[in-house]
Order: sequence, then C-alpha cells, then structure tokens
Amino acid sequence: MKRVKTILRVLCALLLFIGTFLLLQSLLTPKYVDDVVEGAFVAEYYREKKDHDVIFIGDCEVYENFSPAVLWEEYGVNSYIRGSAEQYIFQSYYLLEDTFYYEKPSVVVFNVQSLQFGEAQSEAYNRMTLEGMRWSPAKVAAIRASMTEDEHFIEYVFPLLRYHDRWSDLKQTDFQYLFHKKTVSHNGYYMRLDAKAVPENLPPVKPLGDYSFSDRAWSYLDRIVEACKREGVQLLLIKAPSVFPHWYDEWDEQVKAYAEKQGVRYINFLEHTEEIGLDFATDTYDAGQHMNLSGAEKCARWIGRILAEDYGVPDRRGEEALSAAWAGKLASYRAEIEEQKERYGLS
Amino acid sequence: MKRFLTALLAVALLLGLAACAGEVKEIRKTAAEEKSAPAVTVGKEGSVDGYVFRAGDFSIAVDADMAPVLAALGEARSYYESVSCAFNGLDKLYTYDHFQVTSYPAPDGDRVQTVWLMDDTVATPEGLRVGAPASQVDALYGSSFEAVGAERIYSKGGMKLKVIVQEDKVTSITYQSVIADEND
Repeated sequence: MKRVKTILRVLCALLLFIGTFLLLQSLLTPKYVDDVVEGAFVAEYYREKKDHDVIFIGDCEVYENFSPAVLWEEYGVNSYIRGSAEQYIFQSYYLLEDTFYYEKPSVVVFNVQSLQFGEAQSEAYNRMTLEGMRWSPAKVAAIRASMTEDEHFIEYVFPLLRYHDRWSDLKQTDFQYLFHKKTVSHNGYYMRLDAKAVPENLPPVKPLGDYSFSDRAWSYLDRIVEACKREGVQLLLIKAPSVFPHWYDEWDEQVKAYAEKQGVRYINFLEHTEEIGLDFATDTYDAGQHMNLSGAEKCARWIGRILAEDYGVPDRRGEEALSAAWAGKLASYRAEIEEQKERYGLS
Repeated sequence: MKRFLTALLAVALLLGLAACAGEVKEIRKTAAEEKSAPAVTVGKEGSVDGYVFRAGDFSIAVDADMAPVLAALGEARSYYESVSCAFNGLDKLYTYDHFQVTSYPAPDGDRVQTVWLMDDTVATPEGLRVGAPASQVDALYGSSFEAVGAERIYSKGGMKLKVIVQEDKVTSITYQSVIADEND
C-alpha cells in the first residue's frame, strides 16, 4: 500500500511538473497577434479544412501580394497561402511536404524570390516560420536545414528554453491568447490598406559580382519540382511584382532557363504590370516592396484567370459547405477592410 | 508530501527559467541589431582600422553613426526606405551624385551599412576608381582577398571592401559593414 502511495505521489508530481512547464512555455512563447503578426501565419493553416485547390508557397511576396478572398469571390477558387516573413526556399520545400501530408491541391504556386538565399540569415525569421509548423518529419528536417550557428534544436522542441527571459516583455495578449489563438490572416493573406507610392527615382541598381544562385538553393527548387511531380500536382513558378529589392535580369534568365528545362511554367509578374492594371502610385503600401489590398486584389484577379483557364482549377462556389465557410471568411475580410479604413483615415 | 511537491515545482521553474543560462538574444530584433555594434568614430578628425571613404574632407566609415554623415553630406539626390519584412526599423538608401550610402537601424540610432562608389568621378583615398585596370587593384590592395564570382572582398578592421572586376576593369567599389551584411 505504501508503495502504491509513493508511485501515486511521484505521478502527481510529474504531472504537476509537466503542467507547469507547458503552462510557462505557452505563456512565454510569442503569440504574434500585436504588431508582428507574420509569425502566426504558418500555424493558422492547421485550423483550416484542408481541401484547397491552390496553395501559394513563399515569402512576403506571396502573403502580401495575393488575396485568396478575390480568388474565391471571382473564380470560386479555394486557395491558401503558406508563407511567412523571409521564408527561405528550404523552409518552403518542407512546408510543401507538410502540406502534402494533409491535402493534394491541383496547383502549387511558388514564388522564386527566395532563390537568392542558400542559407538562413536570421534566427528571428527562422522562428517565425518554424515554430508554427506542426511536429512531423518535415518540421524536424526544416529545423535542421534552417538553424543558424547559434541555434539549438532542443530550443525548438522546448521553446521555453529560448523564451524564458520574456517575463519583462509579457503583454496582455500573452495571457489573453494563452490557450487559444486569434486568426490574424485571411487564408494566409496579410492585409494592408494604406498606400505609399513608388518614388519617381528608384535607387540605382547595384551590380553584383556573382549572379548565380547557390547550389543549395537550386537543390531545394529541384525538390519542390520533384515533390509536385511525385504528387501529381501542377507547379507554377512566379516572381511577384515587387520592385524593390531589385530582381536582376541575370536571375530572371536563370529561372526562365530552369523552368523551360523542367517543363514548368514561370511567370514574372514584373513583365505584366500593365495587363494586371497595377498602379505603383496607389497599389503598394511601402514604395513597391509589397502590394496593398488594391494591388493584391488585382494580382489575384489576374492569376485567377490563369488558374481557372490554363490549369482547370474548378469553380466551387456551388458547394454549400465550402460557400458557407467562405461567407464567414469574407465577412471577416470585409470587417478588417472597414477597420483599416478607419485606422488609416481612408474613405 | 508538500515539501516534495514544492521541491519539484522549484525544479520545474528552475529548469524553465534557467536552463538556457548563456546569453540569449532578443528574438524580435532585426538581424543587424542581433549582433552588438561597435562604436566607430569618423568625421573630419576620426579614424578607424578598416578602409574609409572620404567625401571631400569628411571620412565615412561603415558602422559609423549616420547622423553626422548626413549632416556633412547634405541633402541626397534621392532617398528610399526599405522595410524589413515583419520587423520594425528601416534600411535607408541615400543616393548622392556619385555614390550611395545605406544605413541600418542599431539600438542607438542608424549606422552606415554600405558606401557604394557608382562612377569614375570618385575614388577611394588609396586611389582606386571605377574603370581602373585590375592590376591597379592588386597594386593598391594586394593579392590577398576572397573571390566571389567577379567580386574581390578585402577584409580589414572588421569591415569589407568589395571590388568587382569584369573584363579587367573595376566596375563597382563598395565599403560594406560586416555587422549588417547586405543579405541580412
């Protein structure tokens, strides 16, 4: 009897320890619901019903430049953006593999901007992409592929070990979203309504000593192509219409040659700005680096036609359950438009 | 029992709060801010260990405080702000007639990130300018450099001087901060 009591005591103590540890971890890990919301995007995907027809993968050039709401409203295309800030190409590859655990879309759209980085540049960006991923072999591999010199795998397993000194930075939202998360994106899209025009004179373009992408970056693009072929998913490579940082012609030529060799379509949106109807005086919120709502809706409208006509992505507006889900999403989308209009003093 | 549980709780807290005993970087900072920026003094009297560009009688070193640089150079021909994805703080590009200066945000204010000599009307204090033959680069800076494609990278005093040589001619000269390398 005494032995049973001892075992029960140890078990209780163990549970208490684990509970305390997890509670502290949940409290101290950043929630990304205040000013830096981009770190919340990756995790939001798992709350979705996963039967998307189009998945966008990439960095800020996808999550700020395409509006899935417009794709749904105008083409009935059910899409989701799996993008995070400065998402490196190896992270995009593992997020793609992660996506394939859950669903098989008709089309994957990958933005090639991240080819310029063969290695991760910052732990902060790594964390924003990797922490939101659900544990899987893809997440383990993504962490291993991403870690900078000073990072440790164990700190991804137990984020408390990394964030234990956030006590002084805790905000009300850390307590408010301790057990549930607020949705901050619109199917992965980050909305901005304000506008800041591209200046008449963009900075002169600085030449590079070496325009070639690294072997490592190419190898992950190979893996993206192979994964899509393996799953029978159509791949569309794009370069979003951001005018800064500069997208060099030498880079573009390499991607064009690669796409041709692989039999994959590549669209550089910078070559189609007139067709898309982009006005760089009104369609960007940061002088041409990212689109605002107006620009993102135009880009979605333009790519929507291609997805529907050239890739045969079906119009699913007739599906009752999906339409009902989108009705809720569109309501939230419109509510944020109104909220931002007020915030930025727009009519 | 109470003592046992208290001890376990204490262990849990200790593990949670002190397991990572080393120096921990604040996660919500720009890449440049993650690294400690050394103070660099420049100006009419200043000097540093690395290569320094001189605009008239004013020296501009990378990682120097940007404010006196801007005051000395006057209004730029054009100005552009580059926002880092997700982070606060701006990388700023000031383009003058013959060179461009960029800055990165540091905790105590903006610092010089790069100085790029755009044409042959300006030269380094050692005498190198755009259009010079490759042999002059060797003569002025030596043959000890890291080659990345057509770029020669000379490291000195915690900074980099990047010289692009194409078809035996210098096509670009850039002073680069190591703390905030341009890929950050």
